[in-house]
Parts: sequence; C-alpha cells; structure tokens
Amino acid sequence: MKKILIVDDEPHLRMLIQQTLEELEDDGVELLTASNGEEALETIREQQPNLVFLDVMMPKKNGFDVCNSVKNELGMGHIHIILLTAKGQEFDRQRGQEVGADLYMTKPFDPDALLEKARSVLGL
Amino acid sequence: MGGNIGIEDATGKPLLGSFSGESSRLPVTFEGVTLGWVTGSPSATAALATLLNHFAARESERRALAGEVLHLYREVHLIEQLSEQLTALLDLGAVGTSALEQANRLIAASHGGILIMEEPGGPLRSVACFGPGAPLLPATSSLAASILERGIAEIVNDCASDPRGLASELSVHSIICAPLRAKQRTVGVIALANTNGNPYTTADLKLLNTIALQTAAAIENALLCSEMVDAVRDRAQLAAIQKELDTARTIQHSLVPRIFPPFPERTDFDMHAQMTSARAVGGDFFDFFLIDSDHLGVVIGDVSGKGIPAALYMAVTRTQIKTTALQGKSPEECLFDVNRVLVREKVSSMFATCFYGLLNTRTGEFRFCNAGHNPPYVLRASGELESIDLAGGIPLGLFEGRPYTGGVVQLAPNDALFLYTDGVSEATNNALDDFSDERLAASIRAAGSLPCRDILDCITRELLAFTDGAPQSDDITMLSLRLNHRYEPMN
Repeated sequence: MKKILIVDDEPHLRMLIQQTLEELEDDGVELLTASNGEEALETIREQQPNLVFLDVMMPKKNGFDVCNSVKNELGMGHIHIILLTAKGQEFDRQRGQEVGADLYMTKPFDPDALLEKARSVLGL
Repeated sequence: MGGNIGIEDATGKPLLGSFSGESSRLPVTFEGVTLGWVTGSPSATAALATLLNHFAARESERRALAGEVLHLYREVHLIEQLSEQLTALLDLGAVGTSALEQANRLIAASHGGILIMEEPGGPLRSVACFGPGAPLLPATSSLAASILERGIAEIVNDCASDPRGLASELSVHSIICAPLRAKQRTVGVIALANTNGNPYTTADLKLLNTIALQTAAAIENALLCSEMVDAVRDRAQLAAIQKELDTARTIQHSLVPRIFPPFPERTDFDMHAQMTSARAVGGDFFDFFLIDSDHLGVVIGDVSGKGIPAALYMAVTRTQIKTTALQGKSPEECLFDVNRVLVREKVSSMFATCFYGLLNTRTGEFRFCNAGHNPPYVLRASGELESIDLAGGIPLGLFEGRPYTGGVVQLAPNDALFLYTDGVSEATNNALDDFSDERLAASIRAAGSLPCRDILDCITRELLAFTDGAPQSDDITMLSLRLNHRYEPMN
C-alpha cells in the first residue's frame, strides 16, 4: 500500500491537504498526518511513506531538520519529500537543496497542482 | 464489554468482543453505507450502536465541512491567481483569455466570451471566447446590451423560453453573464454558458461577479496603457516632425547671406539685411551679389505657404534669380526668365513674390522689377520717403509669358533703399492690429541717416514694442542699402 504523510502544525491546513488528496484513497493510497517535526520523524520511521508533504516552519523540529534526518541520517533517501513554505516568507532554497528536499511548493497551495504532483510521484 | 457485546464488520466477521444469551443486532452506518454491526444484549447493543453511529455522523459532517472548505480554498486560490495574472497583463486579448480560463476552472461551462466597450457609448467588440461554433456573444447581443444598461449580473437557465427571444442569438441552454465594472464605468460583459441542461446557481453568479471585478480593473489598465502608448507614439512623431522643421529652418537660414558687411572692401555703399523666422519654417528670402565691380544686385522675396515645401521653393527661386542675374540680364528680363522656369517646374500651387533691383554703384542708377512684392522705399538724404510703387508683373511661378516691366530710380549719395517682406508691415499685436505701412514708413523716417544695420535695429525695436510679445506668425525680413559716395555721371 502506498502512503502519503502530511506534516503541518496548523490543523486546518492538514485537513485541507488531506481533503485535496482524499480521492487517492480510491487508488489504495493511505493518508497519514503529523502535527510537528518529532511526530513526523516517528511516523516516517514506522510507516516509511512514499511521499511526505512537509511544512518548513514548525515547532519542536522544523521541516529542514526533519528532511535532513530522513535523507541523510536515517538512510531513507528514497522517500520523496516536498517542502511546503508560506508565500511571502523568505524561503532558503539553498538550504532546502542541501538537506535533500526533492521539491518545494508555496502555501496557499494550488489544490490541483498538489494532487497532480502526488499522482506523479506515486505513479498513479 | 465482557461477554455481553460484540462488533462485526459489514460481512458479519467478528472484530471485537463476543456475546451470549439473548441477542440483538444493530447496524453502524456511514453516509448510508453499513460499516458493521453491534451485537449483544439489547440494552448494551442499543447504547454502543448509538455511540458509534454518532461518531460516524460526526466524521461525515467533518468530511462535508472539509470538502466545502477545500472548495472555497480552491476558489480563493484561483481568484488570487487570476488577480496576479491579470495585474501582469496589458494586452486586452490576453486579459480576456486569462479571465475566461480561470472562470471556467471555477464554473462549469461549454462556452465563454468577453465583450468590451473601449469608449463610453462606443460599440462592443469581442476580445476573447471559447467553445465550439460561433462566439458565444455576438457584438450586437441583446443580453449583453441589457446587462450593460442595467449593470447587474444575470442567470438565464432556459434560453429557449426567455421572453427576450435569446434563443435566436444564443445556441446554449443556460447562460450566466456579468457586467465588467471599473470605477464608475461598465467596460463590457463576461459570460459563461452551457449547452447541457445544468443550471447555474446564485453561488456561480457571486463567483462570476468577483471574477468580473478583477477582469474589469485589468481591462481598464490595458485600455489606459494602450492610450498611453498611442500618446507616446504621437509625441515621438511630433518630436520627429519638429526636428525636421528645425533642420529645414537651419537650411533656410544657411541659404541667405549671413556675413555682414558682405563686401568690406567696398566703401561706396553700405548694406545690411536680416531675416527672423516665424516658428514654422517660412518662405522669405533675400540675396545680393556683385555682377561686376559696378553693379550690385539685391533681391528680396516671399514664397506662398509655410513649412518645408515653402523653404524648398524659396531655395529654387533664389538660385534661379541669382543664376539668371549673373548673366547680366536686366531685372525685368531676369524675372521673366525665372518665371518661365518656375511655371514649367510648377509645384502644386506655389508661387513667390519677388523684388529684384540692380544698382549701378558708380552712377547711382537703380533699375528694378517687382513681381508682386511689397514696394520698397527710398529714403532720401533730405529725409523724404518715397515708395517705389511702379508696375512690374505678377508673382513668379503662376503663369508663363506674362510681361514684366522694369523701372528705374536715381539715387543720390546718402540716399537709402529699404526692402522688406509683408511680415514687417503685417506683424500683429495681441489686439490683432497690423504694424501697417504707415507705422513702417514712420519708423524708416525716424531712423534717418543712421547706418544700415542701425536702421534695421531701430525698426526691429519698434516692431517688438508694437507686437508686445504676441506670437510671430510670419517671417520678418528687411534689407537696407545706402549709396555712400558721390556718383560719377555717365557720359
């Protein structure tokens, strides 16, 4: 079963992304959620999702640190990570690249683009 | 739950607990679908089934709410995207296409169109449309006219039964149309339509109105930008024309003598001339040349019209006169010949007035011929002023073969000649009064026996005082010539 992990500290954004990706459940995709960096790392270790939508600005552990752990410390480089950054906030592209993120998208996100990207990564 | 209750999935497979004794079996449903069963004693089963159905109902509500929020989020996102796109577009067609694309992502439609009105009260024209067949809205659409007039969006969900007869102009089933209002003006309409039977709702209407507001602002920007581009282009063209006129004026001035005194070694006569161009390039000219050591030719003229054609005609006329005069011909022969050349080279309806005089510097005899020009003055040493008002001929360049009659006046030492163009006598002040021949004559008299340069300076000062800053409408050209020494009689 393919899995997508949605990581955001804001409940309404988690819910929106979940709702956007809901139709993938019909294709057998399981949607998982986490509300901070530490919880995200734990879920990634246990569930090994195929794709992670990872918010950058989060309490406890930010998105860069989570991404760095997954890609460079836990040996899970195959997990596709898309960083989500708020539009208007300066995003450090270089840092995103250094920690191994595959892509970054801005919030507010385009639901159609987000769904399209998930389908493409999962090969659906 | 002990041994009194159990939970089964939809197929009856036990998931949790077990039961024994008198049993009851109640379903747990989610959005009309049975998820599973609660089995056990009637009282426990009823309580747990109620609780689980409540949770399922809450989840159903949460999902519905999330779906609605996502829908709104998508709308806001698309409208924001449209806003961003439209801000960057200054081409009407691109604005229209972008607006229709985004509108169709939010509101289902098989056809769409935008009509705009570039000027208040002007005709409508289509700037963008989509959908098979003819454009959704013809420029003469009665629906568009009605929306424009009322300034209110409208839904027609059954065009065939619309009392305005929309069926004849629209081949769709339902249409939604909104005015494009920018500030206080309606600049056009946007419409979406469906050929299937799906009706439009008030939510669609609200959405289209929001899109219309964004689009109208972008269309107004594009129209303003287009006006500005036109204005800049016009200004650039004007600047280019002005540059050409400046060049023409420079050429015009370079064609008349500019160095004074022109013959410094000649002390037997004094001469000065000046030409002040009006803003537009005019056709005044003057010239002087020694034909031999005893004969000085002086010419003054004025070409009809203004601008570059007049300047060019002046250049041709002046060259012809000088070339012909240097052959030693009399003034009347000279103007006769020049007239013939100009008539044969006739350019449009142009002509030139001209006065050509030939002074024998030794005898004081001044022979002349006047082709329709202002008659010059002779200022005698005694102070007496005479107008050389004898017949000559018609202006040059009009008709061939007309005779030119010559005249002659005798100049005594210290007698002076004053030649001018109508820009002097017809210079106007702010009350539109002419300087007039009378004022000119008085000014010449007042200048008395001054050197030629000073005579022209005096008259110029009088002119400036009279016109008092009123714009100069014509070239002002003056030439003064004085015989200095006592001549030697010819015998």
